[in-house]
Amino acid sequence: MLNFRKSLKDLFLVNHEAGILRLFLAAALIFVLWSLLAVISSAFDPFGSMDFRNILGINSENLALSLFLDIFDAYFSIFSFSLILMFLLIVLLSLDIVADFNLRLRSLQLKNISKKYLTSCAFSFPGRKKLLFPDDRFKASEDIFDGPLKAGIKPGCALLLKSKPSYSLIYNSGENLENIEISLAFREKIIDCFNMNPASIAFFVKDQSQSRSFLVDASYDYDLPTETGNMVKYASMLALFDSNNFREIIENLLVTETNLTLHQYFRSHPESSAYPSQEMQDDPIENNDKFSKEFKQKKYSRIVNFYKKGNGHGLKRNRKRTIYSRPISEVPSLIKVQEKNLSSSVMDELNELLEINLQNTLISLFGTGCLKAKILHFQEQGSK
Amino acid sequence: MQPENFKETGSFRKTRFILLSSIIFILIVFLFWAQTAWIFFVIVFMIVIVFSTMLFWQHYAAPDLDLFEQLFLTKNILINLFTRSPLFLTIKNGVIEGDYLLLKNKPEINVLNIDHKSAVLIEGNSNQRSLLLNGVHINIKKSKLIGVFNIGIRHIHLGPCAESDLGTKHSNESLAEFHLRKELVERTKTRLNSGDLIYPSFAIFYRLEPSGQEKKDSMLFQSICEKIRNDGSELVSSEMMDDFIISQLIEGWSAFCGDKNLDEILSNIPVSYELPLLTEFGIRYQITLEQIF
Repeated sequence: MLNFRKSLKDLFLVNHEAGILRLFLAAALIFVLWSLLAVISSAFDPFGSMDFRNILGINSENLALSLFLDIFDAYFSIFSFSLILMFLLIVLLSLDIVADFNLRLRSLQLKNISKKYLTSCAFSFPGRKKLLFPDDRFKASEDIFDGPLKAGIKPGCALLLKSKPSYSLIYNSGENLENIEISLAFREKIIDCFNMNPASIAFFVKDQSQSRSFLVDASYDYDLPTETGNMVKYASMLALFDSNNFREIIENLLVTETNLTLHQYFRSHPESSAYPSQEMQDDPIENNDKFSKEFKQKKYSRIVNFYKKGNGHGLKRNRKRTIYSRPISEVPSLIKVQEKNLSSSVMDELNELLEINLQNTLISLFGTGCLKAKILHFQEQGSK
Repeated sequence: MQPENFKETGSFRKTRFILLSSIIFILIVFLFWAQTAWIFFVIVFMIVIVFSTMLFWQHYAAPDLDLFEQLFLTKNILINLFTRSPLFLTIKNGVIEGDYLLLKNKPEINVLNIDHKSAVLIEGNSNQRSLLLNGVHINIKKSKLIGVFNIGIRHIHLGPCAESDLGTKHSNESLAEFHLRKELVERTKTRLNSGDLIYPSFAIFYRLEPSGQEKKDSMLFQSICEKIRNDGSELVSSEMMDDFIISQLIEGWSAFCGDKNLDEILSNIPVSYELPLLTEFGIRYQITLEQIF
């Protein structure tokens, strides 16, 4: 029983050789079926014979020719020919129906792609294009991203694959600036394509108890593990994201963690030189007033499109606005800041604390650490 | 030849099916009109061929199903060609695709197609509930959908992002956007005992995590459903899960504020927030009170 199941499984294996073999087997099956119908036709003659002797006007006493015409009569009798024709029609019809099911199952738009996928799986028919990721068709669901498939990955990108029982990740680190070529087996599926290039963001964090805010420049990189076991964990973590909102969520998480880390640090190091500002201590009321103006700008400046350069009068509000987006990249050049760079030892301590906090949060959320972040630059924003 | 962007409509697909079926039917009638003895043979031959060829193609379309599931699916696909009800429901990112939720009389669903970021809790005939994860699920006939969840990472920003969010409608803002913003801001509006009106801003990251143990997961998601479904709604959606977490947070926040004054609250910001109920449900989360407006 076990052997029978295994043989049955082997019969449906999907690779080039198996496909070609199946094509021959299918042709052989059609021929065997046709022969069987021809035998039935010659034995029982349900509808009578076409009688090719009369049609072709051949009246030979040659044994070989006579035998051949008999066989020809049997194969092309109304019974056997019509049934084999029906068989072929049913094969096409079932392909059409299943292609339609496949189309809806994979939320595809084009039925041709669905049919090509089925025929290439079954008989190794050519027709499936090689894809290079990131590919626009992926987001538009314009193709089937299931194996068997050949795909290329551009440098800095990672493909998230689903193959039973788990996820896997193929990452092109881009060391040689060349695309990586991969072949997906049947039952393997491309789930998403992520841009894994390191990036940097600038954002404000506020300390409302001391009425101040800080401008932080931070960089982050995806901490890809080298061990296979950890890679599976990492891939499972990535599967929780969507490539569309991946960076947005990661950056928001980073902003939140940096915010918490800075306050944690300054609460435990109140003597730190950058904190609190001398001006604030001198005249808290006046400076608070000044601060509130700056503060307002800072809050808005979290949104890139919200700002444009004024003509020598600081900032002007841009009419564009976004409710959610927070990380910014162009603010430092636009805002007048009172620079108070922290010493490198403080920065090291901060980065160490940030790493611990970030790892703890990532592990509590995802079960694995997946991000390395570093504060590059740090300024307390005050008033001049 | 079809143009590249040609999209086949449902009616076109059905027309082609009817056309091909008619050809086969006419062939049978024409050929076997006087041969009633052979009709039985032909019908059996046709049924065997239809099922075997469909099983063959289906194996490549849905390879994870076993033989009996494939047979069941074939039957359903064939029946579906003559009915208007949808063959299956697709659930992506914890959302049911199509207008299923809007329908007053919900059609019977035989097949569920669930993506890797969704989980569905169903109730069978004997009131037994089970959790379905990623894949094509057959034979769920007469089962009732209880809850649809997004098991990916969720990020919600609750409260105002900037002081301008507290203001009136902006000239470049549509009425819908304004109401959305207003609702978002109003949800965290808190009046302290000292009379101060504050608008806290929270960053919420959370995810539901099935353990992979069928019974344990079913129990867990069932208890979440029961906790969330308090307004008599039939189906728990992922939006309701978001609302539940937000309401838990607001409840916790109100209790935290208690008789604190503004200075006491401000001295503790930013702060990570803990909600015991979410921990109890095994939900992984990170909630931070970022700032107060």
